Amino acid sequence: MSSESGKVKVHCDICNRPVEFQVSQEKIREQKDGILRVALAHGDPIHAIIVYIDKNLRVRGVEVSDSFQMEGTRAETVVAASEVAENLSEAMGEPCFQALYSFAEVEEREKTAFILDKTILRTICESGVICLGKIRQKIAFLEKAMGDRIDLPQIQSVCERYVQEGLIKRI
Amino acid sequence: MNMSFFRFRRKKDPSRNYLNRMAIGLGAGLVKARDVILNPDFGPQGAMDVLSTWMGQEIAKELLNQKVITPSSTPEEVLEKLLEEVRIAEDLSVEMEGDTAHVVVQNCLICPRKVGGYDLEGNTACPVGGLVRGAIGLVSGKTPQLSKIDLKTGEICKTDFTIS
Repeated sequence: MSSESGKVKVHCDICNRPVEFQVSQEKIREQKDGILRVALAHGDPIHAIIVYIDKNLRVRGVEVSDSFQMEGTRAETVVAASEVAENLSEAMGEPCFQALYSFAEVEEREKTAFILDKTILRTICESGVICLGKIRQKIAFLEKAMGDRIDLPQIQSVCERYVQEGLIKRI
Repeated sequence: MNMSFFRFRRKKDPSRNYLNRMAIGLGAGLVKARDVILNPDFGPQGAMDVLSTWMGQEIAKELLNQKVITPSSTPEEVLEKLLEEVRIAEDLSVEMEGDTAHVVVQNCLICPRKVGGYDLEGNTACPVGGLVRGAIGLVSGKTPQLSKIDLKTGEICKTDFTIS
């Protein structure tokens, strides 16, 4: 990835090509956390990546989308950028997980899931993107409720299963 | 003026202790998990999950007291003895496949709908997951993952536990 003033160039993992696009400095300044997220649709067949750019026009991250829909057929969870930053704030080398659906969309399917699994899934769906440590913090209340320690491997195991089932994505 | 006085003195009967233990777990769980229980986000199954985890821990203590299991019992042995002693169903099978235990419950004896005759209003309230999680976690320190739960109240319920 490289950057220059006004123009940003990233590598797309889907088409395996560099993609260059213009970024408005003003738009970045408008972001409370200083990170602009750009959904970049390109290529043939058309696909999309999400690029995170900071005020210095440095690319902080690129995510690929699993599918591309011109007209949304699924509800998207709107998460404030500041909350995303908070959810990733402790992600030093930890796995992070991204929601692919809103919790309302998967709730019926997971109706009888055990409370731990369901709460982890809800936390990821409501957070948009979140690292493992943050998930643990957010579900810590279940330790007292169940009189049981919930460690990171347990949470990761649940997350990996949901990744395999296609409900969330590991990033 | 008529007066009556009853005094019940009974020796401890280990076979009846499971009910006492479940009541202890229920009481402790109600206090410790009250925030979860009162939160509508978790629903009846969520409340049952936390309460039955406490009950499972208490029953495991009783299984240890009665030496039905030992602290070195494997998770599979704890699972087998728990389900055998508590008798939650007429027909219950446990099939081990690697680290995963497939538990199938038919003719459940504790189903609030089928046995109790209550309308669950589309909800489930199955304690099997919590009982097993609580018991195995207490004895072996290895908390099983409940990788798949398929509850059909009053019919056949399947729960997969991954014990590793």
